[in-house]
Amino acid sequence: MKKEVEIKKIPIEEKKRLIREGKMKWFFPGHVVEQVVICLFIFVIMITLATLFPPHLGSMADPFNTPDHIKPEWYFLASFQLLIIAEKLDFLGAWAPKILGVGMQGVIIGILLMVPFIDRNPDRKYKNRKIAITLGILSVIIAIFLTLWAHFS
Amino acid sequence: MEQLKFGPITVKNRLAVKGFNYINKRLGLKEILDDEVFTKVAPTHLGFLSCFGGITFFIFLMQVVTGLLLMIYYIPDVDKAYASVVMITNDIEFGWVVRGLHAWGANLMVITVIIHMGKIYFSGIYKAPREFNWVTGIVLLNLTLGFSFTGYLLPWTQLSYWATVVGTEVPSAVPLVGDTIKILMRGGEDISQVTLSRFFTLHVILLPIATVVLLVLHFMQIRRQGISGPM
Amino acid sequence: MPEQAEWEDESLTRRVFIMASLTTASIVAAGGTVYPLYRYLFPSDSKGGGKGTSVTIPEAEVVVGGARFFKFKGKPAILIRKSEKEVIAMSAVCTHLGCVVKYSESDQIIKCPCHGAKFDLKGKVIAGPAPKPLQLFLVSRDGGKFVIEEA
Repeated sequence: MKKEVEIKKIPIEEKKRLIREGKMKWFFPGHVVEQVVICLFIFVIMITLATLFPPHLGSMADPFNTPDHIKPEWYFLASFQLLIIAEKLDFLGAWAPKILGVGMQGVIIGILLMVPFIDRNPDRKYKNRKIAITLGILSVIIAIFLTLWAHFS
Repeated sequence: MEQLKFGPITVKNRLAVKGFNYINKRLGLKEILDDEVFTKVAPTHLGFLSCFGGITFFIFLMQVVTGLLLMIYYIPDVDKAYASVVMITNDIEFGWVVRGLHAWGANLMVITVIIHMGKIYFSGIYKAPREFNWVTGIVLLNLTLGFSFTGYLLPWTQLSYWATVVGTEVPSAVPLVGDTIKILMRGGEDISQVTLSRFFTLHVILLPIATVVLLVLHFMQIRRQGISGPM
Repeated sequence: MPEQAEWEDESLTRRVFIMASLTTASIVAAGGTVYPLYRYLFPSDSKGGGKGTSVTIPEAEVVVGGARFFKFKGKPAILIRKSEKEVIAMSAVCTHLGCVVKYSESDQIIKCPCHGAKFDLKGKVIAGPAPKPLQLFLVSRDGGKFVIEEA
């Protein structure tokens, strides 16, 4: 583990110096108060949303009647759209659409898991991580695009 | 005069001091509190985006509380589930708030998880020595989506039923084991009472246990490595 | 023992103000949570009463000489048809510890299976630990139905 010291092990004198220099603050009460304020704020937002926009409850499930437009919840839309795109790959053979569609989901999760092991560049400054930042922004744009596409189609 | 010092707070009330000392002798609380709370420092450079991990955790706790409350009235039975959700919404006092909070919490939690992940990615916080915590986080992301997927079926509405039909159909495309996965998820060829019971069990027991274990791992690493410094 | 942290002197009024407003906000949030929670945990029909003060049971459902249980104001009650015309209705909740009583057709009495209280067909205690008689209800006939109301 390079350079970063386990924070707990910093001697108390060192902590006091860091606080005097404004780089750190006491966990209590400063940090705790902040967290409580944030939690109260989130709580108010949630109550407001639940009151003004109560969740919709459709009709009871009927296994003999499929409704017209079945779409998953918004957070599954991007991956749903990938499946639909994969259906266009049937020129590769009848096997292709389904297997590639599901395969892509697996690959995405795999890549996500591997991020820290693929990107071994220790630098954290934006200007020294051009590839990682570009790929990140690209992924976000693609995900938003796929979600909107699925939403409006 | 005996007194206790908790960071900036000094307790002088004799009864309080006595009471605390009684418990402290048996649990060693003071040492833990001093170690974990009163001599701890936090960075000052944290911005708005750094709060989303904590916010996600708070929403998770809200989901636990509202989920427990819903479970008091919810009946995981294909004939009764829908009616029980209608009853919670219409007949139980403040039931609509509890259900509203749980439904909104589910959506907000996905949003806050994504923001948290984006912040960690773009600020390069996943780099050594925090690689493994990123992995833990991705597993937690998948658990969150698992909660959403299983929870969505429970009200047994048209939307939830058919979304589950489609959703559980997807893994059947996996070569060789696809159909087995599908049947395992559904507990048969169709979405039935078995599926509902399975999703309910996953949603209220298995996923919560897994999430708590992963959260402990997640937080243990943060505790050991500290909050990442500025760039 | 770890060394006690020292605390920089902050302006006291500022800290008091922040703490006071934070405490107020927390109390408001807690109060606003506890009351709904309390109401949520008591389902609306748990108080009994209100909902339907009369119950109707088709005559065909009660055989002559037999008995039938039903819910009256959310609590178990029993309808006993002694003969074609003679019908009695009363609470089926034993006044001792709340068990549901049984009708013994052979001895024409009502027995509680828990602690052996016995009641006659007018609800009066004839044996056992029950302190009070069973509450009787009014039964009238309306077409082919029995209508049970509070006495």
